[in-house]
Amino acid sequence: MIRVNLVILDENLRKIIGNKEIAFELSEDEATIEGLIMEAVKRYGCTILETFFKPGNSILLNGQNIEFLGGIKAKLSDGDRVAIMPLIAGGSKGKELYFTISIL
Amino acid sequence: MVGGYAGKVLRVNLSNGEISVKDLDLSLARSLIGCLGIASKIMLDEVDPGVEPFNADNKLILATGPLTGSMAPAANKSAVISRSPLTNIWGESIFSANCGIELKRAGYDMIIIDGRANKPVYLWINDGTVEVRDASSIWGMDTFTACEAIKRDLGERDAAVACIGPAGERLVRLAAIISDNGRAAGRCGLGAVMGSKKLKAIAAKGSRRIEVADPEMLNNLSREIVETVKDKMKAFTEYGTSRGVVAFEEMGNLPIKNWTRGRFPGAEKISGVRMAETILVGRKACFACPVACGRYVKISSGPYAPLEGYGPEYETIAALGSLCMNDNLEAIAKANDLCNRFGLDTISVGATIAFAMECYERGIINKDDTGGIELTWGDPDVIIKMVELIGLREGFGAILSEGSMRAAEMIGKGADRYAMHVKGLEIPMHNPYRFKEMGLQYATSERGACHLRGLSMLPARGILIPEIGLDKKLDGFTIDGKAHVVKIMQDACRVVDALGICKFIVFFGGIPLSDIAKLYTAVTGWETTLEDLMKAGERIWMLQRTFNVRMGVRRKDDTLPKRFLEEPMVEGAAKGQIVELEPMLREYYVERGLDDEGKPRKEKLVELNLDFAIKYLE
Repeated sequence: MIRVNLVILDENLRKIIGNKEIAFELSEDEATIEGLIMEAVKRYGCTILETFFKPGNSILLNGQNIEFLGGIKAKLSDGDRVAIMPLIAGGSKGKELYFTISIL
Repeated sequence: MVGGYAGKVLRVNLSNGEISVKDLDLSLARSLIGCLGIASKIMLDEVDPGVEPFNADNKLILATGPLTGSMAPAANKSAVISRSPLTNIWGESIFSANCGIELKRAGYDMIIIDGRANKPVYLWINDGTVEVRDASSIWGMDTFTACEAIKRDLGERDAAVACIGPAGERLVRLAAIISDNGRAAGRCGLGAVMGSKKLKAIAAKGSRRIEVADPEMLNNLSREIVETVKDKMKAFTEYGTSRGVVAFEEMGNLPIKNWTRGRFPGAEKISGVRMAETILVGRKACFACPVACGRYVKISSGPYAPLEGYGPEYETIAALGSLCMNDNLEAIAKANDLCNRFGLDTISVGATIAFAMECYERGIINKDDTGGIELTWGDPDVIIKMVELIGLREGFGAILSEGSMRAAEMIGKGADRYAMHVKGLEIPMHNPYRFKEMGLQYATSERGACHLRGLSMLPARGILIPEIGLDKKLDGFTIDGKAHVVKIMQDACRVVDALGICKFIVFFGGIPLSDIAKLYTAVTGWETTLEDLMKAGERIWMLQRTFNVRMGVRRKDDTLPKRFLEEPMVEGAAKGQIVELEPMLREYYVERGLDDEGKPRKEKLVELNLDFAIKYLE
């Protein structure tokens, strides 16, 4: 098993969950961003998906955007931090969903 | 009819009291988008390398853009321009001062001030009347008190004032110019240029309407833009520019402990969210702005009470906060208020204090040097004390008031290794370890290390601008293609600056740049494409580069503090990173049309129709 921390930078989600950081334990074969999202859904219900995939929100693995690490297939290691970062402002018109929701 | 421009340029010589008015050169205005560009030519023509920044012959220019004061969204910016006493090169600071708008309503697009008064004065522009008035009784006052005193002296509540505080009067090289609506022309020490001219303030009031070529087109466009901006910038309205402190810490962008650390547990305590929950009592909008990112704060109890006034924004919060390891938001608000009152640049002040704290920790300076002050990391009261001493140029503050580059020279003993500046201007609060393009931008910005002359990290933060070829998200940790991004973003920022609009609403509000070109067309009546504007932006950048080359800037100066180049970041998201500047710089020089020494190539100047500038490179 590995232990990773999910860091909630989205104020609204933090209010729902009540914590800034939530620890997760994942088995070796589910040690990806995708695996973490599935665990989070099990624990908090489907509403958490909206935050992960809200247009403009980014998922950071140890501070790096997962788009540059293989998307939701990015591998996790013990002690990693996964953060959901809300859109701070702006951006080009239209939404930027950079991977499809295929996990359910 | 050409709209937008008032059509006149005012010149005031403070040495002999001569005041003259000339017509604005409209063909220059067209090729250089207004007075920021024209001022670049004036500085080249009139300030040679022998004119030191505090010399009476140095110019101080207040320049508006063609959109400034029109009803285009957030068209509220004016630029102050001079040879900087902090960097000795191109000095420029842009602020949304109401006095720039009033200047234009009074009928002038810009004022060029030179000479030096023999006693303290202020300038009063009231429609067609221009007066140099005695400021002896106002000299010495803090900025907000002085603005009020000037309005009383004039008997004009509606006059708009921008002035210096004690810091500018005492030639503190970190001195800012503060406007009565709480905005600062902070960077480059331009407040000290005013001080050297014995010019306490500029006050203006005008009754003319700013004519617009196609009001209907302007209204329709503006309405549409305002709707988009309001929606996209909700977080700016709610939490201000420091909305992102916690996210910045997580992603490795927040500067911590003079750029040596990558994690700051106190980030949450100093964030815009925390401010909104605690000391925030109001939000302040600049002229014609639908966002209101400005903060207004009140502290009623505790060691920093009573305090009521303009609150700190992101740069200030990081500079006087995490950079100095200070997580006390009320103390940051207090230090910010003092900076405003003394007339100081919060970025350079915070960075210079952080530099001193590192020197103290390393034993390069001790209590004997500091007058008994223990410059311990994170001590909020020491930070506040140092702001006061810098503002008054007293005690150890006299050394720091020279800025980190000169302070390091005065201290010696290898202190220069810890002075984090480019060309003398302290590094602002975005991290080049995290966004390599910011490293290149800092190394090449025309006023020294500047985050606002480029905003080149936007594509890496997912803010794309396809119209100028920035159509895909970039990885901030890599250097590929960054030279191009920096060049394009520098030019784009020059365009928006020169027009007189707020860059935040343009880039964070997601306004297509082609709409900005349409705004310009609607206001001036000149059919203009985005391509035309980008070319003009490049011209402005190149003229300012030419000015810097004339002042002695060469390739060796386009660099970063050694820390970024040689010391890998030890923790956090940017752990292990350094800034690989050289390869980016080589590519950038090609993009820009600079030769190996860093001078603009003649053929590039010809291509840009800047033939007149060639003589300044010889």
